Amino acid sequence: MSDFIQWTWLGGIVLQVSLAVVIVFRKIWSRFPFFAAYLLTNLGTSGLLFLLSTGHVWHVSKHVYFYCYWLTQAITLTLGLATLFEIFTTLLASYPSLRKLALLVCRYAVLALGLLGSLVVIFHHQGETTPNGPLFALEVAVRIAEVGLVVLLFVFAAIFGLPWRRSAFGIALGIGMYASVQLGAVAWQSYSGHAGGHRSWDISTMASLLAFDLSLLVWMGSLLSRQYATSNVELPERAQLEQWNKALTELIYQ
Amino acid sequence: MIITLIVVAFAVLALAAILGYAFRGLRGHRAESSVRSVDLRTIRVLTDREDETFLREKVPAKKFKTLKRRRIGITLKYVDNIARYVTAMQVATQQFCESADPAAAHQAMQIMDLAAEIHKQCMVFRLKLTLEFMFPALELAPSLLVPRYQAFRESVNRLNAIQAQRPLSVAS
Repeated sequence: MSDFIQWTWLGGIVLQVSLAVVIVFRKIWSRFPFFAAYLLTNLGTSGLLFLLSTGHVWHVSKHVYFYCYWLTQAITLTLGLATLFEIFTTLLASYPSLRKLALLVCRYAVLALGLLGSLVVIFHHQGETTPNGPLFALEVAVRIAEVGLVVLLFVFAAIFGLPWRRSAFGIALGIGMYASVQLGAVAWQSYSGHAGGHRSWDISTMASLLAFDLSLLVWMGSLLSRQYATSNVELPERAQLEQWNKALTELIYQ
Repeated sequence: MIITLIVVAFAVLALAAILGYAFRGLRGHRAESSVRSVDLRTIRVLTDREDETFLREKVPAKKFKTLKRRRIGITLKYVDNIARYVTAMQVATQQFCESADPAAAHQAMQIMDLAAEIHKQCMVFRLKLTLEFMFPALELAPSLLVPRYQAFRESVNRLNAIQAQRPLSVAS
C-alpha cells in the first residue's frame, strides 16, 4: 500500500511538472495569477515533502517534516481560497450588476461556513492525539469553507446562466473535486487517528492523492482546450426566436 | 462521531453536486439550449388573474387549488424556457464582449448584464410561483420582467446593427 502511495505521489509530481510547463507556455499567470501561484507552490511543496518523507536526499527529524508539512499546507490552502475568489471575479467580469449581489451572497456564505467550521473545531473528536490533531481540525474548517465556496460558485453560475470559460470552469471543478475528497479524508483521519490503524490512514491518504492527481488532469484538459465551455451550443432558428419574442412580449405586457 | 459524520456527508454531497453540475454541463447543454416554441393561447390563460378569479368563484375550493397548482407547474416550465432563451442569447453574445470594436464590446457587456438581471427576475418569479403553489390562496405581485426584457431586446438589436456584417441570429 505504501509503495502505491509513493508512486501515486510521484505521478502527481510528474503531472504538476507538465502542468507547470503548460502554465509557462500558455502564460496562464496573466489571466489566473493566483491559480498559477497555487499550482507552482503545490509543485514546490510536493517535491520538497516527497524528498523529506522518503529520506533519499536529506535525513530529517519528524519535527522538521511536521513543520514543513503544515507550513506548506497553510500556504496552499490560502492560495486555493484566493484562486476561488479569482474565478468568481473572472466569472462576474461581464456582469457589473451582479457583482453587488454576488458580494452580498459571498459574505453571508463565508459567515455561515465560518460558523460551521468553528463548530467543527470546537466539537471535533479527539481521535488524533499527536500534535497533528488540532491542525487537522483547523484544516477541516478551512476545507469546509473552500468546498462551500465552490458549490456556491456553481449554484450562482447555474441560477444566472453565466457562460463559463473552459479554463475557469476546469479550475473550479478541479479545486472542488480535490477539496471535497480532502475534506472527507482529513475529517476521517482526524476522527480515527493513528489508533484507527494504518489501513484506514493509508486509504484516506490514497484517496486524497488520487483526487489531487485527477484534479491535475482536469486542469490540464481545461487549460489546453478551447476558450468557452459553452461554445458548441446550438443557436435557435431566427423564425423560432421571432415567435419567442412575440410570445414573451405578449406575456409580459399582460 | 456525529460531527465527523456531518462533515463527511457534507463532503460527499458537495462532490456529488459538483460532479453532477459538471456532467450536466457536458452532456445536457446541447439539449437544454434548444429553445422550444410557445403556445400563445396557453400562456395567456395561464397568467391571467381574471381567469384565476373566475375559477376561484365558480369552482369548489379543493378543485381550484388543484387547477391553480397545475397552472403554476406549466408557468414554471415557461419561466425555464425564458431563462433558456436568455442563456442562448448570452452564449451568442459572449464572443462580442472581447470584440476589437469598442461599441460592439460595450453593447455585448450591456446585454450580458441585462441577461443576468432577467435571470434574477426569473428566479424571483420562480420563488413567487413556488409560494403560490404551496399556498394557492396567495396572489403575489408579478415580477419585474417587463422593463428588463424590453431593454435586453433593444440591446440585442443594437448589437445586431453594429455587427451588421456578421449578425446574431436573434429576433428583431
